[in-house]
Amino acid sequence: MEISKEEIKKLVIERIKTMPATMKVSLGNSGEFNKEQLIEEVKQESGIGDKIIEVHLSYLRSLSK
Amino acid sequence: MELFITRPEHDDATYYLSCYAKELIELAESKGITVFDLNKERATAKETSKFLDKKNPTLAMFNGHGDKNTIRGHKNEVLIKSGENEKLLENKIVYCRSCNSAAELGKNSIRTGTTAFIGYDDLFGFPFNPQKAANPQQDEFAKPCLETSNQVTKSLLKGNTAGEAYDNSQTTADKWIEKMQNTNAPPEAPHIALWLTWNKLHQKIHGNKQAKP
Repeated sequence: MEISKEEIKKLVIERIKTMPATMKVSLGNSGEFNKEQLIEEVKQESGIGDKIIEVHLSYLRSLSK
Repeated sequence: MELFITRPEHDDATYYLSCYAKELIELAESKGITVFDLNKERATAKETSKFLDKKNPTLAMFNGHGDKNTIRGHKNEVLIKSGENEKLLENKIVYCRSCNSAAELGKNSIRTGTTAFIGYDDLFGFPFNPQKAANPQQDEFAKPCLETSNQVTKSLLKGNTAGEAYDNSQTTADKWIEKMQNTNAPPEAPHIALWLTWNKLHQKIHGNKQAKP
């Protein structure tokens, strides 16, 4: 069964929501992002948002190995 | 062995990398290794060219921003550009703690004589606590990713080969990931393990793995 992009976005957003309020992420040249900003990027499917999705999916795949 | 190192500090990310690199400078100096430290506004193309060309250090570590074709310094000035001046890396073991530089530049630099190139072929990311930004070494969110990435240079300074340095950093990542996935890990642990896993996956080595600086 294939998971839709919308479902993947929802999953990643739910995961980001569990980030501590005091945490930011440094993403190289793209700058630093708090959880609200990360969620917004994922929602908008921006370049950063798509990269964040890739990072989360890559981590989830590593857990299944 | 001589260590050439760039440490721009013009934003939070570069300040964190620079602070963590201090430990490496101290380790090098404790071993009697000469260090050419281009800190803050000294991390320019002109200074980089001068030190790499004239002093010819055997180990070069770049801290800062980058992309697949460039390594950048103070205020993102281009220090090394693929197809332009990567020859400056000739006969050196290079470790580039920046985004993407192992993707093209690192690979291409082997063809122009770089002994070995360790870097990242995608984003290098790390979580941090802005409330601790004045003292990055006290930031428990950032520590695992930055200690893991420090391990490459630390191993090289201790006399390991480029391949061993890469393997040591990968093993350090595994240890931190395991720690972050322990049932006693703090609530922020999954968000740290996320970036440890990503950086580990995208850390690459090109060139001669048997070489020592």
